[in-house]
This record gives sequence, structure tokens and C-alpha cells, in this order.
Amino acid sequence: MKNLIWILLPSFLLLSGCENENGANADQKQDVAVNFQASFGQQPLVMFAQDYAYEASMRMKFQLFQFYVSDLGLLKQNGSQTDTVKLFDIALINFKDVQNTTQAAAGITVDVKDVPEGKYKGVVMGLGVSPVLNATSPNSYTPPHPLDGNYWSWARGYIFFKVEGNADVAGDGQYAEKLTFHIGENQFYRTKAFLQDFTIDEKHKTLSFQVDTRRVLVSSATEFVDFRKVTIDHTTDMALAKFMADNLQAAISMNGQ
Amino acid sequence: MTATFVARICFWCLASVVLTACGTEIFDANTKPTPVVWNDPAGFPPMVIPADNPFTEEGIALGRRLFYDPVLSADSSMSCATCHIPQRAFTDGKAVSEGVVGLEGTRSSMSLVNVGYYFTGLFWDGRSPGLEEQAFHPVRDPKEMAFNWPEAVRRVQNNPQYVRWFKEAFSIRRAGEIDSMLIAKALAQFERTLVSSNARFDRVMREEEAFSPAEKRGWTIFFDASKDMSVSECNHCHVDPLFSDLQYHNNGVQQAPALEGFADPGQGGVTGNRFDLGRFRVPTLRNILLTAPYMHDGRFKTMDEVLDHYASGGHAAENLNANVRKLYLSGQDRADLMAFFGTLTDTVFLKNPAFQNPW
Repeated sequence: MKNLIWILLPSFLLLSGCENENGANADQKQDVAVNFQASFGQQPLVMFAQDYAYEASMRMKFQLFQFYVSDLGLLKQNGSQTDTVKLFDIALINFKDVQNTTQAAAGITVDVKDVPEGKYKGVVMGLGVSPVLNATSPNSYTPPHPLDGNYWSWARGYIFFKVEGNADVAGDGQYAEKLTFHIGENQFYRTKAFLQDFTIDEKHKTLSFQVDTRRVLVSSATEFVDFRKVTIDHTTDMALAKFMADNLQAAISMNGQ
Repeated sequence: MTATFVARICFWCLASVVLTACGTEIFDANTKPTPVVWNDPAGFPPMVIPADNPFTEEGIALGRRLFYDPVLSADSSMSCATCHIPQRAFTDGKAVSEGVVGLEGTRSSMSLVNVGYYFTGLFWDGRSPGLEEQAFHPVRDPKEMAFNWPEAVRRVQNNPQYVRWFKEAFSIRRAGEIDSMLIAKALAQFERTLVSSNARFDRVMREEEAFSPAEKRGWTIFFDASKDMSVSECNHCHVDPLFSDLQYHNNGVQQAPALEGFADPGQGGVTGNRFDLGRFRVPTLRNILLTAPYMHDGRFKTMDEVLDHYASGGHAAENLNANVRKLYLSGQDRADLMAFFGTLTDTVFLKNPAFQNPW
């Protein structure tokens, strides 16, 4: 027994010495899944097949909902708001292939390797393409790359997020109005911090977020994208672009562990 | 000389003939192909070149010979170039292509312009993941070359010129090493070189030239770049510099009461996903004025008809792309768009001697 203590004590001291400021082993890393699920209000977001009740007795269907996430970082427990462990520079969260409730429940996942274990106090992310990356063009990247296919050469920038679908504004079930909202430009880049404690270790390897697409289009009973008046915008109506960019920022929440 | 000795001589003579015929002749293994350093044109994304099929001078030259040689068709009447004619930007000018026995296919020949940059599948329906795999399809398609690969390979193996060229391109040691994969690799190398990047549009982007007023206006309408001018919604799918987003969309050309009723299932026929029914790969608009007729089945004879279609908003369908919507283009808008389309014609590409028939 005495011998056992002499063996265990140095081992304990050695392991304790490896703990980082976040209270975990500095050398231990985990592959983390960053997951995004989308909804429309309380309903899961499903492309094509599902229709949703919208404001002013309108209804709508989605064909595409996608947005960029830039510079996703984890806030260190004992660090400042800018002291982060960056998980990735850019990811495209694209729900175009979410066509049933099973796929909606699975959401869209970005896998990140070698995230240091530890306790964190929050997550920060940019919504859209960060100004640094927005100044680059797709020819800088070998395909396939998240920045493929969403570049406005005429504006020299990327489309930060897209909402496409159809609206039934007449109440006849025809969904005759086509919806195309493409928002870009640096002034509509938004950042968001989610301040909540969580742990990354071998039992906690998922960060999950929820985005409410209804909230992207609607901010109150009187403020919403009115499909009777507008069905298309390519960031030409700056007020509308700001409205939607602000809404996207408000539409994302982080789930607890 | 005993009977046994004579029998042995006969045996070895016979064996040597048989083995030679089977392609077991051993070549000098020192031949190495000459690597080609690939430079992407300004503004283009990096081309993805498979690690197991790098560009070589000999491989490209061999691919070009095979591309123009009818050796891969059943009756030796048809080559790749029969449906992919350089002067037509590597299309054939027909609504749907015709095979060796006169059987009509169901789809129009797709342009091979910049095909090396297409990393999201080939053919109208995306059934082929890349150029090396793509070559397998037309050879065995009864409505195209109507042949079979074992016979096609045997023909090539039995041609001493090709044996030499394969040896130079792929360092093979015997004719029997020529197989369908090596043929496909050579074709793919040549096809990757078919890069069009010298149209007037490119020269304007490189600031070597300037658009005329009509071209500039057409450019603005094409890219929906001004809130004070008409929009055409073209650029959502025809993304520059390739003028294709390399994705698959239903652009409303087919009419059916339900998705399952489309005459051509398009991508849905490959994926089995009903929302992919009626979707087709977005073709490039480079050299578009030379590639009539248009659409997957060549239903539109002129660009005017194409513009009429898009101005109408297309036929309704569950998966009709939301960007295909009724347009309000004036006669002047259309004329200016046509002027812009003209800037996508690349005569340097069309006349490039490296792309012509070497035979």
C-alpha cells in the first residue's frame, strides 16, 4: 500500500501540472461537432414540402436557406472577450438538402478537429463573411470550398445569406410569388456572442445552435418582410438588407449542453 | 536434329507469337512523360487535377488524338469530336445528339469549355463524378458510340502507333497494359486543357479593353447590378468566371402536373430524390452565341427564344428555381443583353491550334 502511494502521488502531480487555465488537460483535444438546426417558429424548417403560416394570412415555402458563419471562437473561462480558441474561419450553413423532418432534426454540422478540452464561458461568431475574407475572391480557394458559388463579382463580395422560396399571398394555395432575398456587403456583417458556460471534454463534444427563420423575416407583428410588397432583393434596398441582417443576428440562439 | 528438338523450337515460336499478340512484349521502362505545369487563368479558381493523372505533354497529345479518332465507336464512324466540335465551342449544333447507328439520344451535347473546372459532376444530370469516369459512358451508350470497352481497348492495343504513344504518356511496359482507365485518363488530360479565358469579357475584366455602352448596359442587367435598371436574374445560376454555378436547377422548361411527370427526370433520375426531378446542370454561357440550340433537349433554336422563356417565368413546379421569375425586359434591354453575350465569344479559344484535329 505504501508503495502504491509513492507511485500514485507523482502521477497525480504530473497530471495536475498539465491542467490549463480552463481547468482541463492542456494536451487533451477533442473533435467537436458544431451543429445548427433551423426552424420556422416552432416547426422544423423543411425545404419544399412544408408550408408555413406567415404574417397577414400569407403562407410560404422554402427552397433555400443558407448563411455564412465566420470566425467561430470559444471564449476561454479566464480570458477576456477577445481571448478565444478559434474553431474555424468560415463555414457555409446550408439547409438546401433538408427536405424532411429527420434531416431537420439532424441539422447541419461542421466538424472541427483538435479543440482543446476545458471549460469555456461562451461562443462568439460572425454572421456573414468577415471583412477580411469578404475582400478575397473565390479564385483564392481550391474547390470545394465554403466560399464557392456565392460571390458577386460585380460587388466584389460574397452573399452572406440567402432566403429563397415561394409565397401564397392570395390565399389560393398556388404559391405563385417567388421569393429571393440575397444579403451581402460589409455593413451587414454581424457578430454575436453567446455567454454561457460549457465544457469540452470526451463527454461533451457538441455545440448546438438554433436558428429561427421566421425571426429572420419577422421582428414584430407590424414589422416583417411583406411579400405583398417585396419578393426580391439583392441588397439593393439597404433598409431591407439591414432589417434582415439584424433579424438574422437575433434569430440565432445557443442550446445548453 | 531430333523430333523433340523441333517440337521445342515450334513450341517457343508459337508461344512467342501468342505472347506478343497478348501484349506481353516488354518495352524499355526508362521512358518518362514530360510534366506540364498548369497555370490557371487570372480570375479562375484553381483547377482540381487528380493526383493520379497529372498533366503531361505526352498525355495531352495522346488524349487529343483519341478525342478525334473514331476508334472508340462500334463502326469506327464517330469520335468524341463528332458531338463536340471545336468551332461550335465543343457542341454539335443539334437539338439532341445522334449515335453511330442513327439512333437519336435524348439530350443535347454539352459544351466542353472549361470542363476541367467542373467539380460537381458531369453530364446534364451529374451522373459522372469527373472527367476520368465520364469517358466510360459514351463509348458503351447504344445511342452514342454503341461499343464495348474490351473491344475498344483491343483495337487500341493492336495499333502500334497508339502502343508507342501510351508508352510515352504512361510509361507502360507492354501493350497489354493499355486499358480503359488509361484511355480515359488521356482523354481527361486533353479535355482539361480546353480552357476559354480570352473572350472580350475577360479582357475587360483584366482592364485591357472597355465595354461598349450597350455591352456595359447588358453586363449591368445580366448581373442585376443596378437598382435603377432592369434585372434579368441570369447571374444567380450563371456565375462568372465559369458562367455556371455548377449546380443543378429546374429552370422551368418542362411542364408537368407533378414532378414525377417530367419527360426527362434530369438529376432526379440519378439521385432518386423527387425534388431533383427536372433539374439539370447549369451550362456555361461562354461562347453561348455559338452553341445553339439551347437547353438540355435543344428546344430553343435561338437566344431570343431563350430570353422569351425566362421572361415568361417558366412553367410552375414545386422545385422551380425561385430565381426563375417573370422578367420585364424592354427591347433595348434584350438587345443589350445580347451585346453582352457576344462578349463571351472567345475566338482565341475556338481557333486554338492545340485544340484542333491532329490527324
